[in-house]
Amino acid sequence: MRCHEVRLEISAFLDGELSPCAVSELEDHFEACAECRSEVESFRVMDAEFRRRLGAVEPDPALFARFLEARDRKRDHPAWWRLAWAGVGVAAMLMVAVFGARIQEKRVEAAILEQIDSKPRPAPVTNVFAVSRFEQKHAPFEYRDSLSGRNPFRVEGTGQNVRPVAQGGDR
Amino acid sequence: MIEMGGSASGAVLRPVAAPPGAAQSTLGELAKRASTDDLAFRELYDRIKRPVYTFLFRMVGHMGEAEELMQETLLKVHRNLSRLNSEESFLGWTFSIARNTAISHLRKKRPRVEPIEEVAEPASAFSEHAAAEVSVDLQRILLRIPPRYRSIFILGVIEQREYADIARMSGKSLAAVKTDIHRAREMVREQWLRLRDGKSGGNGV
Ligand SMILES: [Zn+2]
Repeated sequence: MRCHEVRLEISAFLDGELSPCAVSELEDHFEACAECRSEVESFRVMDAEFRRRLGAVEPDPALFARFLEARDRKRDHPAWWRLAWAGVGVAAMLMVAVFGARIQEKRVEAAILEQIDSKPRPAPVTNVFAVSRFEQKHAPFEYRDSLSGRNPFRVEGTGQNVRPVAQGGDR
Repeated sequence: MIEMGGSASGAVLRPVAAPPGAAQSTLGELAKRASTDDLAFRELYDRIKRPVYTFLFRMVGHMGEAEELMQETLLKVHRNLSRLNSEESFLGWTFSIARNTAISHLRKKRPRVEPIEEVAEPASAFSEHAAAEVSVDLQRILLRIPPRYRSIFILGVIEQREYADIARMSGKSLAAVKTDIHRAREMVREQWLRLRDGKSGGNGV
């Protein structure tokens, strides 16, 4: 056996992990080779010192109780989180409901306004039958000439009203 | 004997009438009951706490950190009890969990520049000052080598566990364990010789 081969086996030799055959082979070499012998001796001294100095350590007696507490805390967490998420869910649903209602309200309002808008528009204000702004905007009021019974401002065919000039700043 | 950690745990650890022959249960039998029975888990813990805690303490060289890692290990062990193979040794399985927990903890953590003050060597309170100092020096050497080699040195050289057990715990081949232990021994010896030379030279490096 060569020295470099022996060196690779020294750890297993010291740890009792070699076959009896391999052990006797190494022992033969150590008898003949002072260098490898001192190498194995130095490891042996080091191992013994570490084992002697760094012995077993006992954990704190309260460690197990702390483990139980930590475990139960972790166990409770999921329930806690589920509760929290349920709360978040309810809040979200409430918000959707409230906003949904608001949106629906707006939609209805918009639909009504649209309906109103598509209807013939109130007449300009330059006549005696002055119409309030509100009425102009919302009321299905249309100016009709008392004689002809027609709205002289209405542009026929387009379905659009002629915007009263006086109300220009209103938009 | 069951020690009660405090009033809080007393409620949990109510001594339920233990089944006859419980004291003689093997670790495997205990492990089967332990997921639902805290007394059984306590018994398991009492049998493995010393070697596992010692290993963790040597890995980090700090009591508070070792206790945190021990708790983390216990939580993982308890959570995965059902996965324990009946053929497997409970201690070996716990060691593998402790080893992974320690190594991933050390990987996440910033390497300590000088861990001297933090190495609280329990022996120092009882033995003479010089001996405690030697222990601290040796622990410091352990902290200087990479965690992978540190763990194998602790298990193989200090605790003298069989290579086959270490291979199982670390998920390595026997050949890999053999070369790793040798490598770890050489790393430690380099530091150890430097320490000894420093001491004998009177420089106090
Ligand atoms: Zn030789």
